[in-house]
Amino acid sequence: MVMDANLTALRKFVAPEFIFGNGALRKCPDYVHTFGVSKVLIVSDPGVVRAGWAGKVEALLSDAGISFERYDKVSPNPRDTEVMAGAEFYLRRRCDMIVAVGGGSPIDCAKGIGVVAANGGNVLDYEGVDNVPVPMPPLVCIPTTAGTGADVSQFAIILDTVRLNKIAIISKGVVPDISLIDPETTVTMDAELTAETGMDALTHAIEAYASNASSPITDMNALEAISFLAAHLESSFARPGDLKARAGTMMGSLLAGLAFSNASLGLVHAMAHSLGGLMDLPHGLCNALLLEHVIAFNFEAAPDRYRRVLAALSGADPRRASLGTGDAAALTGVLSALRRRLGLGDTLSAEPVSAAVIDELADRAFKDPCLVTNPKKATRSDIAGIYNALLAKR
Amino acid sequence: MPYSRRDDEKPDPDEIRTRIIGLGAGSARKSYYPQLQEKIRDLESKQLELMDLVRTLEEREAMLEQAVDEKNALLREVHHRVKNNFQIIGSLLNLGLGAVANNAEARPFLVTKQRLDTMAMVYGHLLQADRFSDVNLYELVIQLVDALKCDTDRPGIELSYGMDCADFYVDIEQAIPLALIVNEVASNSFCHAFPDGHGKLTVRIAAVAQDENGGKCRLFELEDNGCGFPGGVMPALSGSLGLTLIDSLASQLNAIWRYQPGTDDRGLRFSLYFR
Repeated sequence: MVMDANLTALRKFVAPEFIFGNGALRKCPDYVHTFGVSKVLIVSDPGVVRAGWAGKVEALLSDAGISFERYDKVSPNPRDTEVMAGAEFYLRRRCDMIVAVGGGSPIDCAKGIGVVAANGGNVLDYEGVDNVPVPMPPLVCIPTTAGTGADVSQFAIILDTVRLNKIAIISKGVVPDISLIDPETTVTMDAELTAETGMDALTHAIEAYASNASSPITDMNALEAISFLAAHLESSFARPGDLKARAGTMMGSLLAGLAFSNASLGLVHAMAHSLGGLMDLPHGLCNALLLEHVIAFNFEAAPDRYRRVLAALSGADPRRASLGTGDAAALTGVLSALRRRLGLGDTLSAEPVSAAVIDELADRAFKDPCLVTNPKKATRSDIAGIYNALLAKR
Repeated sequence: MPYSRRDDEKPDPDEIRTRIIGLGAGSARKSYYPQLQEKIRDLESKQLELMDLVRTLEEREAMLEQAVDEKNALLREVHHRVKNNFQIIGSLLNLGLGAVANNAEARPFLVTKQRLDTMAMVYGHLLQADRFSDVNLYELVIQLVDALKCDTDRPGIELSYGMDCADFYVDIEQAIPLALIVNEVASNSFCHAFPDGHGKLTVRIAAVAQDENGGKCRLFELEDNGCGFPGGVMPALSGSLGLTLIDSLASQLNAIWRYQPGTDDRGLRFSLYFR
């Protein structure tokens, strides 16, 4: 039994109402009706539209007599410009509610659109923690990847296209109202996306568990998330149509999302935001490659926590397993092996980067709000060292 | 201070951490309720303002109605007095007639009295109208021609009236000259067209007609089947006070008038085209 948490500390747990299970998507019209709105903005992206999920939601809304508009000009790592164009579209078409259908990019873009529609100004004005004065319009999320966690979190990550930096909007005001989590929607993901988003979810769980802001409730979600992902992620990767594996991975993603939304993250995400923003790389891939480096750095600050992560990854009951005295290498070895089995490789395929770029990446990661909950204090130099270790592998 | 991109320096990490885990001063999840309350208060305030405005408008409407009633009463009184004054002048003329020995000398007095009676009749119609500015021309003409038939003692003359609509109103500016023209034309027919005291007189009024140039106008027509002008020629204007008066009154109305032979070249037809 895990008893190392500070039970008397004042804590809060924020989560949207959510429905999990096959067919959750079909509940969409019922929940839209409860808000009594006149026109819905559906935010999606071209890939999700091609997969047919946006059309399926639209058909459900049409059948229920609900008016809607679609905005799908959203790219991976959603841009500030896409958010502003979406907000202008939302206001011009007189929408009064948002339904996000897709992975983290459409959901984060939808949050940005909602924030700007309610508050005006530029989406970048709301960077940071608790900087959204007026709550956004009602937001229903229908995630179609198993990894983002954005459908239950208080985070929205938007790319500042001028600085090529990912900014974080962290606010209780961007927690969705409803999340309809339907594992069936993830069967259309290809193997690469399944691997990247799955590793994103695993990183959420591990960072939330190792976070200095973890709590018994977030720990419970984080460890359970790791167990689900350990049991089902590789099956989803190998057998895309295996609904049980997809549901297990989706459950892992949901639990990880609840954990990190309340315990926050750590150095992996601080560095992934910086790296993905400057080089426009897939977020899940950045996390997957950075994870073991950061664990090696952090391990000494929370060894038992990381040992419990290893136990969960190994299929043991992490609350009861004997933790032993293993070092970081045991855990990083398991993670790197998993990463390779998922076809994500050991390094980035980008061009070599200069020392100046490394310094810039480190500086941005140092300023990222995710860093404050990392279990070990990291300096700019520490961060630059990790970037060098990752990029030196090439 | 919030942690945002505008900050030059990174704020206290502990403060950021407190906010992220939802325990900062502004970390409570925002609610729509305050906004809704504000909107409801705003709408209630606007409703009160509108109700005040409605009350003010109702009061003003009542005041205006009162003012209109007072003015109507005054106008009615003025018209009444004008009508009475015409009647007094007519009575004075009647008294003067008592001193005149023969019919030839009495005739100018009678004609003048008839003209005064005609004007008094117009004011009588104004007093009866719902709106003091309008006179029903059709009713006025019928009353006027009937009265002339009676005054000239011509029971053997058959009268016929026709018009294209029931409500043909003219204002006081038109009513007086029109009535005086009708008086002149009808008197002329009653007095001179039927030496044997028998014949037919037809009055037509049209609210929509065409003048001789095809222009849109209104029309008054009076036709008799009597003897026509002596020698078939209309007297010169300078030789006839009646025709001079008709011409002058028609000018006031910016109207065109004609005397021409009646149907089948019998009698005379008077036509007046006015706007």
